[in-house]
This record gives sequence, C-alpha cells and structure tokens, in this order.
Amino acid sequence: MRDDLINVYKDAPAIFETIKGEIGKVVVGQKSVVEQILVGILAGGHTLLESNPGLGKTLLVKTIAATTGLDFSRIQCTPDLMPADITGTTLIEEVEGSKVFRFEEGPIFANIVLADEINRASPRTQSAMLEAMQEKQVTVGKNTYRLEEPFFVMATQNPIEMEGTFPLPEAQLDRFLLKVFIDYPSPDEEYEIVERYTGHSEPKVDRVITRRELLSLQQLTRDVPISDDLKRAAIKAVISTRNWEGVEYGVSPRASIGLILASKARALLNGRDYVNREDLETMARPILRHRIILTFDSERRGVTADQVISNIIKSI
Amino acid sequence: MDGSYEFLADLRRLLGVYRRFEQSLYLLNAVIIASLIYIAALFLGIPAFFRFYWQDSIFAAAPVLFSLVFGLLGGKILRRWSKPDFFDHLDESLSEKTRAAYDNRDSDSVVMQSLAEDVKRRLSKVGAIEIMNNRRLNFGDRSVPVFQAKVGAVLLLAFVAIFSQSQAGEEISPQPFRALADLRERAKDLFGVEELPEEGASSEEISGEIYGKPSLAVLEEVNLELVLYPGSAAGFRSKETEPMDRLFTTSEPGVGVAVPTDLYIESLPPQHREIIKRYFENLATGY
Repeated sequence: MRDDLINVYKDAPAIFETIKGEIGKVVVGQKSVVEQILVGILAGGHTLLESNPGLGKTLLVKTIAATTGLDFSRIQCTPDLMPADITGTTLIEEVEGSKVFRFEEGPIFANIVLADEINRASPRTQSAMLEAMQEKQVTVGKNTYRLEEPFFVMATQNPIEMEGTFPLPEAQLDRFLLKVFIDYPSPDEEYEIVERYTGHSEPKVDRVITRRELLSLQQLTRDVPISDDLKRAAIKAVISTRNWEGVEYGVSPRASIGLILASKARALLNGRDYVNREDLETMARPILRHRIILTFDSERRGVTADQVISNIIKSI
Repeated sequence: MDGSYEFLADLRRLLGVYRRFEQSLYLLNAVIIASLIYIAALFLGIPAFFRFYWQDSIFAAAPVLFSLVFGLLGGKILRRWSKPDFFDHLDESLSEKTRAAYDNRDSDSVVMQSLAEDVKRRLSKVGAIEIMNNRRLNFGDRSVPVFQAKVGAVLLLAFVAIFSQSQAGEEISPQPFRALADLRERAKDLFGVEELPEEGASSEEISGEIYGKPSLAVLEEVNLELVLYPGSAAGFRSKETEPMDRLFTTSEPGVGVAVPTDLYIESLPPQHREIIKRYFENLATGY
C-alpha cells in the first residue's frame, strides 16, 4: 500500500498535467475553475458550480468525469423530480415463484453525480441529497446503503435571481465544499470555442487516471503537511466571519476543515509538498462564499460575500 | 526537538547560529540605547556635574553605568517587543517549508518524507551569513541587513559620544582673563577707585574651578551671541586662579567700574579687538 502511495506521489505532477491537458481539449480557458474542481475531487468534497446558462458547466463536469473513468451519472433537476428518482426505490419482484423486494439503485449510486440545475429541483428533492452528500449513504425504508468511494456531487445552478428556481437551503449549501463561479470567456477564448465546436468532429477525452490512483491521491492530499501558523490563520479567518461587520451568520467549523483540506489539495495539485499562505488565500473565497449570510443592509449596499472574505483575508 | 528526520539536525545547528545572532543583536541594541542616553546626558551636562562633585569617587562614572543599565534593559524590552522567530530568518519559501516540516515532524507520511528530504537539502546550504542577511531593515525600495545597520549605528554613535566628550574636556588657559585683570588695575589707578571691600568668606571658598564655557571662545565667531553651555566645559582646573577669583567674586552686583573704550580695546588681544568693538557698538545702538 505504501509503495503504491510512493509511486502515485512520484507520478502525481504528470497525472495532474495529463488531466489538465485532456480537459483542455474540450474546455477552453477556465483554468482556475478546472483547478478548483480538481481541488474538490482531491479533497473528497462536493462542488457547486454557478454561472449563467451556456457557459459550459455541464460540459466541464462531464469532461472531468470522463478523464477519471469513474462511474458517472447525471440528474437533470426539474420541479417535479421526486426524492426516489435520486436515491432509488424498492421494487417487488417475482423470483422462483415467490415475491421478493429488490432495491433499485437511483442515479446517486455513482462515483461522480452531476446534479444539473440543482436549484430547479424542489426543496424536498434537494434535501434528499443531504444524507448522501454528508454521510455518503442512502436510507430507503429500513435499509441503509453505502455509497462507493470516491463519491462526489457536482451540482450546477443558474443564478437564483432567475425565474423558476428554488434557492438551496443553508444546511445543504454547507455540504458543498466549494462554490465555483464560472465567468464569461475572453474574446480569444470564445473564438477558440467557436472554432472547436463548429467543425465536423467534436473533441474527445481519454481516461487518464484510475479509481485506485484517485483514492491514493485523496489519501496523499490529507498527508500534505501544513504549519501550525497557517492552521491558526485558517481558523482565525473562519471565526472572523462570525462577528464581521455586515455578516448576519458566519460559517461553521466545517468551513475550517474544508479550507485546510482544500489548501492541501491545491498544494498537491501544484506539485508542492507543503501548504503555503497563497493556497489558503486562494481557497478562502470558494470555500467560504456560499456559507456566509450577509445582513440585509450589506446586500442593500451591494456588498458581496467575496468582498467580505477578501477583507477578512487581508486582516489575518 | 523530537522526531527522527535528518533535517532536525540542521535545524538544531541553525538554531545555535540564530541564538548567537539574536544575542549579538541584543547587545548591539543595548549599546545603541546606552550611547543615545549617554550622549543626551552629555548635552545636559550630567557627566560633568558628576565629575565635578565626585571626581575621585565611583559616582563620577555613574552616568556611564546608568546608561549601560538602561541600555541593557531597553535591549531586553526591544527583544520581547519584536518577538523574533527563527523561521523568519530563512528565505520565504524555505521558511514556510521548514515551518510545515517542523510542525509535522511526528508524521510519517510519504509527503512528509519528501518534504523532510527537501528541507534537509536546502537547510544544509544555509549558514550564519544567510541567517544574518535575511533580517533586513527597509528604507523605501532599499533594504539593509539589520546587523550591518546596527553595527553602523553603533560606530556612528560611538564617534558622536567620543567627539562630545572631547569637546567637553577642553582646557581653558587663564591667559585670556589676565588682560581683563590688568585692565581693572589700570582703571583703578586712572579713576582713583578704592579697593572694594573683600568678602573674605567667599574669596576663601574659591577653589579655582571655573564652571562654564568661556565667552571668549564664542566671541571669536562672527555671531555675537553670548552662549553659555551648561556644564559642557566644566571640570578642568585653572593653574593660576588667584587673579580670576578676585575678578569674579569681589565685585558687588551693580557696582561697575567705568573704563574708557580705547583703553579697554587696547587691552584686548589684537585678533579679538574688532569683533569686541563691534559687540559694544551693537550694544550701544540697542541691537
């Protein structure tokens, strides 16, 4: 097992470069978005992607899933989607003349679950994913079913101001390790997108990492050393959100864990064997932004969670 | 320092270097503070005061001793206030690496082993010079190693202290005053003024010590201001004090002796005549 880890650790920079290269065949630009999603995968956390329609959220997640070769399923969320449509349901089957119950697994039973437009699902259906996301298990009736590792939910959503959406409850938002914003591409990137997708063939990606290698990388991520000073700085940043001016509710200790894990993952992804301050500062926004609830007054004045986080980071 | 990683041995070695460096900085700070205090005391005339009254006793050296004690205390306070950290004396990336490695020295993971090897390789190249040069004082865009800056400050302050001390110890010859004594005698003869009554007690008590900087030294300047530097020239001994005693102690306040201007001017050393003449002219015109 240790030899495997040593080998994977030695190959890690090459593996990451290859993954980025494969994703780059399909997704133009968006390097920091790709990095943040890979951080989420290495840290074993769920990722919420938010952008206006048409910016490639679904394509990005499908491409990343394709490079890993993991079981992948997609749930297209709609207002009439039911919890059982996600978790699965118990069926009665006739086996050798007698009737037996059989559990039919839902799409949540996969390694990478793409919950597309999650904020279009009803709150009841959204909350059905809570247990799966947090406990990595599903309970149907009296039975509990473990989900196979690795397990990630990558949810996409359109901005909540758009019609026909249900904002995710705070408890569910807190289950997402990262919230990643996807911005519009630059003119050059958009030209490249048009070039690639208006021809006869569309780019394809290869599987470049095995499930076993991914699990090893997740273990290595947790082993990346971080100094006590940086741990304290991360905790201080998290605690600061709880009494920062303009913040109604600060973030939970889950954010401290997430911030340190994500910083470790970023360090490993960048070929470093230790966490530095830049990792912490870079990961603070995607880790904290969806967990901070601003006061009405802050929202009225147009203050954003990202601005609050930047000020907190400057102060530590 | 527990743990079995090899970089810990290098860390121990550098920690020894760092402690010696911190000790040197502490002493330099102490010397700087002591020098500043002593220079301030020189300008206030405190060392001269002590030498004047306790010249044969250990109290004469009290200002130096007090400056040293306060310097050492100030150095200690500065050290506590600046909260020095060994890791800050390594370059930025090595500092972060070494911190992380040291804080995780009990971990036995693959990543930690890789980090420990890297830290060992880099720490083995670090010596006393790097430790000393990495702590710097910033002056705008430029920066200087703290150690060099402090050594420079010590040398500068030592020069200032020595220079001030040598100025304070300048000996005055009674010669410039002899002319005034002769002048007084000639004036008495000229106007037939009787000898003023001696105040025996005061003349007996005069020891011949002159306290204060002579005004003649100032009168040589173009600027005619009379300046008395308190204590800065005290402590010397006059070899011929008798005429001086009478000159300064036997005259009653308000009893002046009229002296013809020409006679007075003639009695002055030729090189000072013009400037003193101008001085009195200015006085007469209400300058």
